[in-house]
Amino acid sequence: MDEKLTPEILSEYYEKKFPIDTFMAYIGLSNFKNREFGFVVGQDRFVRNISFQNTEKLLDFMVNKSVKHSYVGAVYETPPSREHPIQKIKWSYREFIYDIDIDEYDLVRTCGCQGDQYCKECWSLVQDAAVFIDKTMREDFGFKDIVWFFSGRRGVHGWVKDSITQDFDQRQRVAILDYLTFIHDEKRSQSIDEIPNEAKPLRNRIYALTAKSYLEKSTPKKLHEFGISINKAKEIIKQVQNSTDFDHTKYNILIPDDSAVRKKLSSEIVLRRYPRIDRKVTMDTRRVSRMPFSVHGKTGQIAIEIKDIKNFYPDSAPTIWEALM
Amino acid sequence: MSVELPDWYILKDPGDISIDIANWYKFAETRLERFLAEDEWIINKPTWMSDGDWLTAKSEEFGGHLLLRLAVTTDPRLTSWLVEVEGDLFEFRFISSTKFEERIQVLRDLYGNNNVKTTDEINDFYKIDLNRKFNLADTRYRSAKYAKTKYGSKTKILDTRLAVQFHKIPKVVGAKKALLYHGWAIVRLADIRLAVKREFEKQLKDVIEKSKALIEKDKELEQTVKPIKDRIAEIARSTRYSGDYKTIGFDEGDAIYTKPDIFPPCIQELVATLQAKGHLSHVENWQLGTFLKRIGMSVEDQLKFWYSNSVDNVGMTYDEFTQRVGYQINHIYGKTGGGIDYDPPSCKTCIDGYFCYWAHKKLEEINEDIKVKMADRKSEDVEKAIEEISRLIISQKHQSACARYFSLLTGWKVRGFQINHMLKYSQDAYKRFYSKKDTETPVKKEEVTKGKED
Repeated sequence: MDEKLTPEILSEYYEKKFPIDTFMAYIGLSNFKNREFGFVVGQDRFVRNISFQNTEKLLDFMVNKSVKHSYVGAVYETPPSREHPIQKIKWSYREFIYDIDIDEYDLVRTCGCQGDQYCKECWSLVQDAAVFIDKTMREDFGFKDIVWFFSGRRGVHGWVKDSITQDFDQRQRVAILDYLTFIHDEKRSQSIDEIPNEAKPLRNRIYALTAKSYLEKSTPKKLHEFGISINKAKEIIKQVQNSTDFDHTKYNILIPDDSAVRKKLSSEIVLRRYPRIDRKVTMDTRRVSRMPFSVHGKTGQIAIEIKDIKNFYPDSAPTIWEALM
Repeated sequence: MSVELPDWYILKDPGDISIDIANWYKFAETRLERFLAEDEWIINKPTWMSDGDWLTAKSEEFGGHLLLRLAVTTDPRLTSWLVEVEGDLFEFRFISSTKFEERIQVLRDLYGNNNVKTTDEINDFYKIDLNRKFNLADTRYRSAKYAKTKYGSKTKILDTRLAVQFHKIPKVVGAKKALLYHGWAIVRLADIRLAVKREFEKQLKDVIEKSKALIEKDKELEQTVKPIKDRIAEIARSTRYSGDYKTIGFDEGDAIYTKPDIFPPCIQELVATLQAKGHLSHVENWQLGTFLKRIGMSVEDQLKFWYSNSVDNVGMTYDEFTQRVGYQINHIYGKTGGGIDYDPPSCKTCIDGYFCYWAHKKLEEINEDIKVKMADRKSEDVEKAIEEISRLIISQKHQSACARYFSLLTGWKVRGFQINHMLKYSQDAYKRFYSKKDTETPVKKEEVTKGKED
């Protein structure tokens, strides 16, 4: 970030460029006054338990306070406020959201990036994760309306907008997460679950998407470590790289029929390339999430909607200065 | 041809049945005796039976059950007991039913008509063949797995697949035991039988709760069901945890109740609440009172304990307090009332109707409590444990959360990885920290803090 993110710049963005109507189309107008918002204002003070009577008042607040970060939360039965904080009022519903951050992959990134850093090589992990989750939501869970947003810094957020998901309680949200989870304790022990036979669509998708990403970037020497001969390894890599319609059937034909080899390889594929989701964002029904189209107060980038998640790279997201040009 | 709900399904509307009050007791008694004998029976109309005789059989089934429902409605302990035994019977009948369509109808009643389909209906709707698309033929029958259960002979039935909307069976989905297709969880009967049983139990508990109003506004009805209520109480007590502090692992002569660090979190929380607020709810009083009794506190010491902590004693001398509250304490010890030596409730019962720290306290507060209690531990270990405990709580595995906490506290693993009874928790905590039988000198907490985490 070369330029300074001043309060004046922030106010100008929210006054002139923030697409409030598009934002409202995502969260819906009904029960707006009962929706919680949160902001970082002034000297990095985080305030939440805020609600607004209408969208004009929301916009006025953002302009007048020059908000650095903006968050949108759940809808409650009564308007959240300092006097009636969300812990004391009844929850009604919240969007079903995924958060994928690049720093979740710190233990398996081989490019040298750590924390908020990213490069084309490691960002492909986020791209793969989003594609995998998007496909699983549509094909396995039957959801139809999924939108992806840039978080403004180091990750992406997937909003599942199908109305049925809003009412999901924590138990149901956790069930979906557990269905998707294969790596436990991602920032420490990284223990890997076996890929189950019963959840076949999930298994097939791992072999089709995750395995392809892993194998096409692999080396014969690396595959040899799992007990595959160098020549066979070369053949596997070449075939995967040339395949435009790689799927689980091709995986099963290509990988030697040796259960020990397959088990070791599939664990490595999951460890290195499988989606790592920030569970708290998805399961916590009272959490606030970054407001789509708002500015990230540290990078100055806009949390834009991502049309093509497979090919999205953070540098392509506009900054507040570009937006105001 | 549409299939009706089976007559063995006691959540079904029984229709027009009339029950003679004289027989009502008999029906309820018979049902109780069959539960006691662990008899699992199915009612299906035999081809030779007349419609009139069949109506009588149905009256016996539904009448007996309805009376039991009314009898337990004002007592959460008895409600839990009835829900448990009816749940077991339901599970047996659900698996043993010879008609697949009946099972589908029961599932539709429990989960909603649009949330359950046969795999044929899914195939027709999506114009696919699930078996071929997902090569289901390669998934083997699980004969070996089922053989050890009472449903061992019903392998084919248990392997039957059907479709349920995924959000109705979250645990099964989370365990990856379902093939998901466009929101439908294609599951084997074996993999959802427990989820179905839990849903049945939940709905039965709801209808029992609703019938409480009937009893509360009709004193005559309350008197009518009283003999059956007493009988259920007698049976329920006899099947609960038994044993006293001498036989459950505490050293004789040791005043366990002076060692609050071996109390399970539920009891520690109840004591803290009592000390802070000066009162507890009726069931919490009972839970704490029976626990203190079982770990060896005498009637006299309990009276002193409640007198010093309760707000009921304001302006009262100890003698006055004893006269007023003494009856309840003596009742816990079986010295008044029916003369029954009560035990504290099991964890499952606490979760359902008493106080379970993991089920009833807010997650954020639990996390904060653990951080405070474990302030002397390595913060990474505590954070890791908190995350694991949170996951277990959110997944409704409260007894496992308790076991994980126990491991964090003691460095010991819990067999079966779940705590089933508050006395067992204290027994093991006592062994860990105090018992002379297991250690020559008590293990200091500081030493445990440096112990290995599991």
